[in-house]
Order: sequence, then structure tokens, then C-alpha cells
Amino acid sequence: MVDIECSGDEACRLRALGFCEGTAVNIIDARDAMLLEVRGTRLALGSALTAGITVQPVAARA
Amino acid sequence: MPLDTIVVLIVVAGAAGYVGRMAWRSLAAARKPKAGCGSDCGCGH
Amino acid sequence: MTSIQPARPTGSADSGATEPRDQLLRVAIIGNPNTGKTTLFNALTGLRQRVGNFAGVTVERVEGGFKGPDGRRITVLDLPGSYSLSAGSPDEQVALEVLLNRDADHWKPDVVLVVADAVHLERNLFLASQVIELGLPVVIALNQFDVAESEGIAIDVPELIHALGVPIVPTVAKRGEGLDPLKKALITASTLPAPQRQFTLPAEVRDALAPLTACLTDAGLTASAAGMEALRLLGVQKSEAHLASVPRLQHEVQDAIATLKNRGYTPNRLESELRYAWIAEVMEKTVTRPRTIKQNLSDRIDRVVLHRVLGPVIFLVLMAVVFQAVFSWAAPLMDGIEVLIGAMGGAVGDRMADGDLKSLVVDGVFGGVGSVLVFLPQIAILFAFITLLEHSGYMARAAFLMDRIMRTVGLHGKSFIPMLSGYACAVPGVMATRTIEDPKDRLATIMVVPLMSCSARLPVYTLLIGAFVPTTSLILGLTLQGATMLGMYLLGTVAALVVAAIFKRTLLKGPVRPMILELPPYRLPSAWSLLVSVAQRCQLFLRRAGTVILALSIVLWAMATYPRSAVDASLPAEVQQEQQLEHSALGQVGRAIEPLVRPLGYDWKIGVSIAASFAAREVFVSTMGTIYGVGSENEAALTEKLQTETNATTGQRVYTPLVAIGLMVFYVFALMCISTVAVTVREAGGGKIGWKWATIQFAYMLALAWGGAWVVYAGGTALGLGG
Repeated sequence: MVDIECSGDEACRLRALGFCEGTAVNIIDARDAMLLEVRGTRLALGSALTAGITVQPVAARA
Repeated sequence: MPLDTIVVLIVVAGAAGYVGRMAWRSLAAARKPKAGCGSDCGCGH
Repeated sequence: MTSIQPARPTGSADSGATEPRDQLLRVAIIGNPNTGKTTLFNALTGLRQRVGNFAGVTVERVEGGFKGPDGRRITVLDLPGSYSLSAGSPDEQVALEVLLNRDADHWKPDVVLVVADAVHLERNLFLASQVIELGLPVVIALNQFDVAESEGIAIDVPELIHALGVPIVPTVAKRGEGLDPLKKALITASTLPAPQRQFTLPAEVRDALAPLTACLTDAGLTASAAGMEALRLLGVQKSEAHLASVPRLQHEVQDAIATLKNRGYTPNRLESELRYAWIAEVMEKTVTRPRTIKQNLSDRIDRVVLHRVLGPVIFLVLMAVVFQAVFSWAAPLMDGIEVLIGAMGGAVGDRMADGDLKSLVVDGVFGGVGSVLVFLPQIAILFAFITLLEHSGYMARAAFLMDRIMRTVGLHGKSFIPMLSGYACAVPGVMATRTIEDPKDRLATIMVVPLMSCSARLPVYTLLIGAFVPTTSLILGLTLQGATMLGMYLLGTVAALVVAAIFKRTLLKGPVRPMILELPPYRLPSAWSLLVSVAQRCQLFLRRAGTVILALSIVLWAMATYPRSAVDASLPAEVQQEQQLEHSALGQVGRAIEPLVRPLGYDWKIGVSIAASFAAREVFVSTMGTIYGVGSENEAALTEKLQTETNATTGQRVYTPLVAIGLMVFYVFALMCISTVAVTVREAGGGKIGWKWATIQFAYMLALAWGGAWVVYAGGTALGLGG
């Protein structure tokens, strides 16, 4: 997880969920909408959001 | 008036009153956001 | 399961002089969504709940009570589920206000109960850490402890208590475990000093926040709460109602932000970073979680269920199964009820002398209410399916699948769940729109929720489909009847989407908001809680039948019987009865309405039933039951009557399949429910603006209903499908 760029309210909520720059996330499915797991929570994010999120692969954890 | 008719009148009047009160309550409740829902939403579904 | 609490300060509370035993203890419950908070609340308070609204806003307020183990009266206020105290939606705003004691009701909590999900502890701790800093005693209920254990998640509770500085009680709310220790903990906590932030801010941050914190304490917040708010406000873009009166607040916030930026921090993520860094430490010390089989299974199921093509297909198949089941499984039960009611009505009638009273009881009561009671099995089955889908976790996936479609009309997946609730009843559906943050999206959803065929329409559909649609089999157990039912539901759904699109393009134009949806892991729902939910719903249905519908049936009976007119005794009894009906109050209303409904192919009897059902849709069936005198055992069942009814003047059948379909279409679209109007007025903003939107809603739906029914009837007749 490298960068998030989205307007106030959503960013606020994402941060409360523990989703911020530098966090490790587990991507389950990525198309125009994204399905991922962050800190044990499974989230589905709409396409408008996922457009503003950039993810970098990290060495796989066990 | 025969007893039967009196009973019918009472029952019908009661029913009409009940309906009126229900309608009034749900519409009046709608006016102020402070009012409650719970058992008097009238929907019961 | 026992709970362990931090050591009590010695020598204090046992003096007994001012024993708070008789004082009411106020507990506020807060927690993330999906933690079982409501289940816990229900388990604590039983049915002793009062539902209302928070003053000045349309957020639902539920308060309940129970007696503590020492006999003390405890009242519990259920605050809306939130991921954090940062007010994103009106729900979260209200929660924050209550906890800071800046709410309009001035309901000051003595203890805050945080319900945390043991399975998602990390994320739950964010809210918990904020609440701990409020300066109020806190107790944490670590709920769904059983699920955590079964997934192999091990939580060292004593260590967690030590790390957080608050009492923690593991609970399994749905089984009622842990409730007694929890109650004790709540009472004890009220005597303990309030907890505090368990991590320290970097010195630079503390200094930068000092003026802001001081500003907040000046405004009346406790030192601890001010500290929490100061940190929180760094990430909040807009001004919040409960702090509107604090002087210079925005100025101080901006200053703090500027100072922090100068020192190299990113203020808007600071709270999140600091809290989660601390949370990570805590988790490290207290929780071990393997990557479980269950999670992997959920993922794998999701790859199929959320598949681009398979997903929607599975969804449609599921829906078809549900509707077919609702139709066919209920049939034998419904027949049974019908026979039972017929027999009861007959037995009672036999014991009574002929006359008005007998007619009231047999035709009005048994005929009217009886014809509605028959639908109990269907309601039960429909609701059982909806609950099953919800509890298993599938609903969230359905919302995700629908997001694509919703997006094309300008809404997003979150609007789907209120709409789905609308299939049971529009009232909770409209209320469920509270989770939608954008006010325009919310209003658009409210406008279209009633188009989703609610369970009150079921009796109408069933009556008409049962009488006029043949039972031909289509494929794999799906019959024409089931398909027609599905078709009506689909019609409502499609109409809802189209209307929403129109609204969002015209009156409610706005940007499309992105969706954030949590997908809980799949779960095998407990048969017991399913049964309880269905039983509750059935109870509500019966209560409604026994009250509103009973009253309406009696009134309608009276209108159908009086005024009595002199009839030619030489005419056959049936014709006599018909003439009586025509001249009664109801009949006259029907005649007056007739011109309005004739283009739709209806006679005045249908017209009257439609008019009567504007209060409650099921009344259509009971009115028809009354009009056709179906209550007494000598008459054929309503279905037969409908099939054979012929128009006196033209000699043709009054009810044809075409008329029936048109009538159903009318019911798909028309808004016929006082309760829905009432809740729309309230949720759309109350007062004038609420009424404005409710009127728009009623008007467009009526227009659609009339138009739709006309298209079906006139179009069908023109195509030669009539008769």
C-alpha cells in the first residue's frame, strides 16, 4: 500500500479501518472494484476508490 | 333497538376510532423527527 | 469464563455512607458494526426496550433496562455502530455527542460499554482506544469469543486488560454467555477511576497540540477527552456540530496542522498512525492468530460468488429459488389455515342468530382477517430466507455485486441493502438508508425503496396468481406461477433502478460516491437465532392482523353493509346481496371511483378494494373477502368466486388473466401504506421538507401504477389478449 488519494470522508473511514499509507494489505481480487484484506478485515472497495489507490507487491508472508 | 344492533354499533365505532387513532399517530409522528417508531410504526412487518 | 479487573483502589468505596445502590446506572453501548452489539444489547435488556429518536436528528435511539446482580437499576443506551468516533455519518456524530456529553438530551453515561469483535480485534481497538480517552469508565465486552476460538485465535485476556487498563469480559452474546460477569463489571467500573490513554505521544506532537487541547478544555471538555479530540480533529475536514460553539477552534486546528507539517508529520493520518502503531504492539503481546481454514474458505467461496459472470448468475438463481419456495412450499400450509378458519367461522356462525351481528362476526371478522391470516406461512418463509442470507454473510456480497448496477444509476452498492430490506417491508428499508452518507444518495434510495415489493403485496400477488395463472411447469421445478411472482418482483426492482436514475439525474443530481463495504467471513447461521427472528416477524404480522387489519375489516364491513336499502325480495338471494352492496356506503364510494378505474379494466368492486387498501395493502384481500362474503362456510373460497364472477350487464367475466396481471402491476407500483409515508416524511428530514418528498414519492408511484396497469390492460386488449 503506497498511496491513497481520495476526498475527506472516505479517507477518514479508511484510516479508521487501519488502511493508510504504508500498511500491508492482502489483495483477494482486483478488477475495477477491489476486494482486499487489511488488518484482518475484509473490505470491498468501489471502483472510484480503487482508482486512487496504488499498491506495491511485498515479499509474501508465511 | 335490539341488543344485537347495539353490539354491532359499539364494535364498529370502536374499530373506526382505532383506525383513526392509528392513522393520526403515524402521521403526527412523522411531523417531528423526535418521535419514536418501535411498536407504533403501524407497519408491524 | 471469568473476567479479571484492575485492582481496586484500597479503602475507598466500602464506606457505605452514600451507597449508590439505588441510583440509576447509565450505560452507553458502542462498537463497530457487525460485532454482535445488537445481540448483546438484546440479551441484556430483553424486550424491555424503548425506541425513539435522538433529539433533532433522524437517528434511531434505542434504550433498554435491566436489573443488575445487586438489584440496581441499569439503563442501557445503544449507540449506532461506528468504526471510529470521527463523525462521518449522522450516526457517528450522535454517538460522539452523547459520549462527550454534548448531546441535546444531556444523557450522561456513567459507564461506556465497548463491544469488540474478538475475531477482528485489531480494527476494533481503534474505536476502543478513542473511547478509553474520554474520561469515562469503560468496560470492554469481547464478543464472538466462541468464533475466535474456533478459528484458532488465542487472546490473552489478562494481558490485554493490563495493556488497555480497562476491565474486559469475554462474551458470546448469541448464547448468553458472559452476561453475568459483564453486568458485575459494569457496576464495578462505575466506581473505578476513569482509564487513560495508554500510549504516549511524541513530545513534538504533544507540544503542537497543546494550544488546541487547551482551547478544548476551556470549552468544557475534560482534559482526557480534550486530548482525544485534539488528535482526532487533525484528520477531520469539516466543522462538527457539537464543537460549533467552541471559539477559535478552526483556527487552533489549522495552527496545529501547520506546526505538525513543519515538523515533518502528515497531520491527517497522524491519529491513525499513532493509534495503530500502539495497537500493533498490543496485538503482538496478546493475540496469536493463524491464517485459518475458514478465512481461506471464505476467500475461495468469494472468488466464485463474486466472479464477474458467475456472481450475478448465482444471485439470480438464488432469488428464483427463494421466490419459487415462497410460492410452493407455503401452499399446503396456507390451504390448511384456510380450511381451519373456514371451519371456525362456520362453527361460530352456527351458534348465532341470523342478523347483523352474525354477519359482522362471520363476514367482517372471519372473512376479513381470515383472508389475511392465510398468508402467514408465506411471510414466514420469505423472511426466513432473507434472514438466512443476511446471517450467512451473503448479503454483503450481494451488495457488492449490485454495486456495478447501482453505479449505472448513480447510486452505489450500499443502497442495495435498504432496497433488499424493502422486500420484507419498506419501513425498515427506509430506515436502513441511514448508513448512506451522501444525503442525495440517501434521499434517492428512500424514494425508490417502496417499489421493492414488500411482504404486504404478497397476499395480493398470491391471490391473483393463484386464481389466474396456470401451474404449468417451466424448468427445474419452476412453475409459471413462481415465474410470474418473480416477474412482479423484478418489475419492482427494475422500476426502482430506473426511477433512481431519473432522480439522480434531475432533482437529486450529485457525484457518485465511492463504496467501502466490509465483507464479514461466511458463517453458518445458527438455526436457533433464525427461528427466533422468524418467530418475531410472525408475531408482528399476527399483531398487525389482530389490530389494524381487524379494525379496518370491521369498518369496511360496516361500510359494505350500511346503509341498508330495500330490495326486491323476489330476486334470487345472490342478486339481492349484490344490490345491497351497491347501495351501501362502500358501494357508493366504489361507483364514484369507477370511472377512474374502468380504463384499467376494473369494476367498482375492485375499485373499492383498491381504495380501501391505500391504508394497508393486505386489506385488498380482506375487502374482497368481505365484498364476496367469503366468511361463511356456504360460500366458495375467494379464488373460485373471482374466477366465476361475471359482469351483470355484459355477461362477460369480470376477472380475466389480463385484468389480474394489470392489477398486480398496479400493486407493484402503488404506494399504499400509511406507515411508509410516515417513515419517509421522517427520514427525508421531517417537517415541510419531509412532507414534500413524501408527496413526490406518493404521486410518482400512483402515476406509475395507473399508467402501468393501463398499458397492460389497454395494450393487452388491443393485442387481443383480453377475455
